[in-house]
Amino acid sequence: MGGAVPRLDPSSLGQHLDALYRAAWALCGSREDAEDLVQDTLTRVLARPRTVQAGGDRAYLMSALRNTFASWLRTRSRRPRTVPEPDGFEAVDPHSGRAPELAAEVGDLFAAVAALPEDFRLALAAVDMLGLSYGEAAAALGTSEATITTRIYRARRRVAAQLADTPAPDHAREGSGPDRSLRS
Amino acid sequence: MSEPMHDHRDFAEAELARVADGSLVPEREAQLRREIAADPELSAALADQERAIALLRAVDVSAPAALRGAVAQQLRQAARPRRRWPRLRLALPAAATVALATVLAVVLFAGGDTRAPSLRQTVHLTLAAAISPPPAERGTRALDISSAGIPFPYWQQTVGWRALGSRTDRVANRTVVTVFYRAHDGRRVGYAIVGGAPIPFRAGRVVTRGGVSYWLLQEGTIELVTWRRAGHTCVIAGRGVGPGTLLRLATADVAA
Repeated sequence: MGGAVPRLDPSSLGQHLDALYRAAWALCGSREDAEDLVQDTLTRVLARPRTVQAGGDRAYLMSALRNTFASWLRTRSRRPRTVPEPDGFEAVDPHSGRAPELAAEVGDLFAAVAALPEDFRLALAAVDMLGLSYGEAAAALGTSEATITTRIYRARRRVAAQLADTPAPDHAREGSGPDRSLRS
Repeated sequence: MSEPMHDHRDFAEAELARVADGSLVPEREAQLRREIAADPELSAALADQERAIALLRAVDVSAPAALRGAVAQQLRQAARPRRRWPRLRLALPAAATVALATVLAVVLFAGGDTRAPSLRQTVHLTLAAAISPPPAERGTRALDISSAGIPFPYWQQTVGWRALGSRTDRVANRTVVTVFYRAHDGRRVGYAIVGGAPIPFRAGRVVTRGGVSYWLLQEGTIELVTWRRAGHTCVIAGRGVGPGTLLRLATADVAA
């Protein structure tokens, strides 16, 4: 007989919302899509009681975000695309009232993350955006801790290189990391 | 024996990642930092890691108010015990509904624009209470209710949203018919069709499906999509219903 199975507490979800939104933005590369992704994710999560495994609520939410995002990618061809507005409409920025945190630097950062390969983006979102440990991220994303750590390393290198506006040095490229071991 | 999954390079990368974010025990980190300091290549790699971490973890973006409101609504709905209302129970809050409709009508008719309802007025109707019971199905794709000759969709079989009821209002000399729908998870939308010339509204995010332009807008915590069918204005709006869902509903509408 085991103990009580831990359940996701819906009332605690609000406290993870900002981190979840940042992770979603990192995955989508668009704040509008991030809003949709978070909402779709929470709709799925709230549809029925959820059992929380290792890593707690955040790891569970990361896993749910990943699954919802994957489902989005499968239906990418049916996703809306923005088109120019026709004549006769007064164009206003629907987000013009937003806070100044959406500055260009933040946009550049999210753009750099969104340009990463999907596996790298997921790892970075889990560890550096949602604050999961490597082990929790590995459990949430269904891979090994060693793989997560390597992906994190390479993702950070790419982001640093992109934001420095300089090409990544040779040893930053995949498969050409520091060509020496650190003593264990 | 199978080959090891990670060679020494992967190991070095993993160690550098952990040194940079401080997830190693202090003794191990100090040992590795000494080794890294003696090697320019490793030092440069560590500096990149630390720079990326500083950038990524300094991001202080909060969820937008609209998302916050929508999620709060989702959480409230999730906390509510699920109830299945018999159809006849729809008439039960009749007094409240009539009172609300009266107040709403007074407010709306007192409005300044007598040429057409505003989008905001139309959205208010989509959030109001139903006055009439759910319309019957007419075939598999439409309900037995229409506005300006446009039938309302029957969504239960296609997207799983069932009709809850309807109401008909006169606003600025226009007839507005609204049908209310509810999803299995409790989310609710109102679908209003305003007969006559298109009503004015601010432009928002525009997407095109099947040659039809759909405008996605927000009014506080209310999300809405509006488009035109046969020259008339259609609006679907709700709280806690994301633009993606609204767009799916709009495009799941009956063929014009």
